[in-house]
Amino acid sequence: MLISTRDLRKSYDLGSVEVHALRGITMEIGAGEYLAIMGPSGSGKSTLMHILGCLDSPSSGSYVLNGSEVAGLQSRELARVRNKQIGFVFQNFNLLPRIDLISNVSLPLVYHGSMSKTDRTRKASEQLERLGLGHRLKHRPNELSGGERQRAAIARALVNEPSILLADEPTGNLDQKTGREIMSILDELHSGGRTVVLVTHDANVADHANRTIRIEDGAVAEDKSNGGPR
Amino acid sequence: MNILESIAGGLSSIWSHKLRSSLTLFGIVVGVASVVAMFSFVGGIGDRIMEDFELLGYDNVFFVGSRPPDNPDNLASLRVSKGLTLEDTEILRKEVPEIEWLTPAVDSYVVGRAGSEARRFSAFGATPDGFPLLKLEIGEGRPLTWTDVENHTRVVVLGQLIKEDLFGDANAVGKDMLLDGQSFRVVGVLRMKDFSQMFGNSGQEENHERVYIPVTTSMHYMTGSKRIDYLAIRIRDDADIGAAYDKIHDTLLQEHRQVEDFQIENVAAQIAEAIQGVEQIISTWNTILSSIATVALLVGGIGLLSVLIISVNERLREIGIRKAVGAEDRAIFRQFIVESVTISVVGGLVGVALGAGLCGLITFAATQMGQDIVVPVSMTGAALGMSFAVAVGFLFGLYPALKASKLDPIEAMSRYA
Ligand SMILES: Nc1ncnc2c1ncn2[C@@H]1O[C@H](COP(=O)(O)OP(=O)(O)OP(=O)(O)O)[C@@H](O)[C@H]1O
Ligand SMILES: [Mg+2]
Repeated sequence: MLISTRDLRKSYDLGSVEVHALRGITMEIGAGEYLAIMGPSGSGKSTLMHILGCLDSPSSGSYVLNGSEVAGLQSRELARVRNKQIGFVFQNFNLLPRIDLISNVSLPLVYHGSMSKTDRTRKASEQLERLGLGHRLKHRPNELSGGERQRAAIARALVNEPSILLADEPTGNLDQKTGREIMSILDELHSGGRTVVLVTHDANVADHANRTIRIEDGAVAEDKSNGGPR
Repeated sequence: MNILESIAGGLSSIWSHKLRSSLTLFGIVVGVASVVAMFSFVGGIGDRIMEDFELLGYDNVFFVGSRPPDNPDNLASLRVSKGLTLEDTEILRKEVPEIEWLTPAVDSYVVGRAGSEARRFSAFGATPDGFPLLKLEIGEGRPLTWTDVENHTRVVVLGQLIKEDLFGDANAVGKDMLLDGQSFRVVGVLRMKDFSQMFGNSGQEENHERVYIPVTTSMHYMTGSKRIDYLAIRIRDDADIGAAYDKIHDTLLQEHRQVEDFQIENVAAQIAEAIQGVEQIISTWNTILSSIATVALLVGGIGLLSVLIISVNERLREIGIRKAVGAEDRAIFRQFIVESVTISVVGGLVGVALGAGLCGLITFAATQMGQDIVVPVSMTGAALGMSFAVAVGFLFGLYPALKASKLDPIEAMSRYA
């Protein structure tokens, strides 16, 4: 298994109350799977995605990625996983506001190793062009529409060609047409052999995936196969 | 990411947070500027004092005068020694290689007359070596020459003040004048040097309130004696003052057949002592200033620390994002440390510039108040200020940088929200 979790829990101690965002998630995701995660707002989808993306650590439970226990990884190894193995599309994009799209998309390349600045710029602009942002290279995130930001965030997630793409509501901020465009990109990535996990509230979007997990109140409520993308 | 990119990143971050950066810079700029200004001021005054000592021309100088021998009972001894004579000059020149300049001196008080003006002043009989020895500068005409000495010609070089008294603004060189009734030709006029005036003219007037004639002329026309009044000696800069003193003493004693009828006034040692005193004072001041500077820069450093901590908190989201896309801890650490060192280097440079400006201002103000003080920018101060600034930037950047680098990506982002 590419990903396997056992009894993942995450709780936040807010002084007076304790918030349980995840209450024991056990699941497995195989390499090359196309998985949709659904569930009501506040059910813990983003929290789960962050943990899967090695961006956050669970309060308890085990997460094994590619055969190694993530909790046991050094911070350097974690950084390498985030940089090379996993592309993460945040629900709120998380682009850096003060720099233009090229610089934003170049960021994973900056931390990738010894790539020259010209190579980074070239690679980032190619990725942006592939996502239809060739005319926005020098724009800053706040000069873009929501759909453009969404695509920039995807471009950044993909620029290092990771084998796993984790996308938190990649179509949540988009109109139907743009949403379909994004989904066709994800479909393409999946058919190219990547493992794609996305969070969505939209059943039509979830239908693109070949498996859907429903999360409710921090636990898996349903796990069903869709019988492949349409 | 290479170091140049990190610095460029640091600079652009400084630029995009102008207010925050200028607040940080302020402490360091003030610290460094005050270091530079204070060091320069003290250094400038010290240099000027030293320069005065040098202009005065008595460093490395001995005067050898006559005196009664230690045991005057031994009257025979008076007869075996001829006292100080021109021969002593020759012997010393031969025997003591430490001597750079040496002149016999015969001083006589004369009445000088030029046209209707008459004054009483001293006529200093010397050789051409007396001019470099006393660091006298010729303003017009020429100094005395060896030919003048050989031929005991009646030529005279005037001190600037005497020239002004006797000739006013008129040209003196080439004119004739009377010294004790004898006709002398004026061949040169001295020029007074540019002293700081900080301690008056430091005795330079003395050199300009007299006239200079060949020593032989003086002996021939004024004193009529084979004796000279004293010897003035300047030893080489690199020579050991004590050793030179001993050699001069021993040579003269032998020449005078063991009769100690001379005494050596060790002006060099006195001046050296005075210079040492000044150096002592300056070094004390520099210590005091260094302490003040350290405090100033520490205060600036604490300002930097607090701004950097604020900056870390303000930028938790950026840190989270960078870590989320694969930045290692040390990359974040480097970003912050480079940023803080860049801030402090910029602050240091601005501080040095400001300090240099202050030096200019002090010079200007001093000039306005009629003081001829130049405050050159102290390189020590600038170097010290700069290295302090860099050290402060590094030390105070360390904690925030470490703090920033240790955060989990989501932890960092959610703390920001
Ligand atoms: N940093 C935090 N501190 C405290 N509580 C948190 C924190 N992050 C998330 N939570 C809580 O954890 C629960 C799950 O949040 P999460 O963001 O995972 O929900 P979600 O399923 O992604 O919701 P949505 O569909 O609205 O994006 C929520 O109740 C949220 O309030
Ligand atoms: Mg969410």
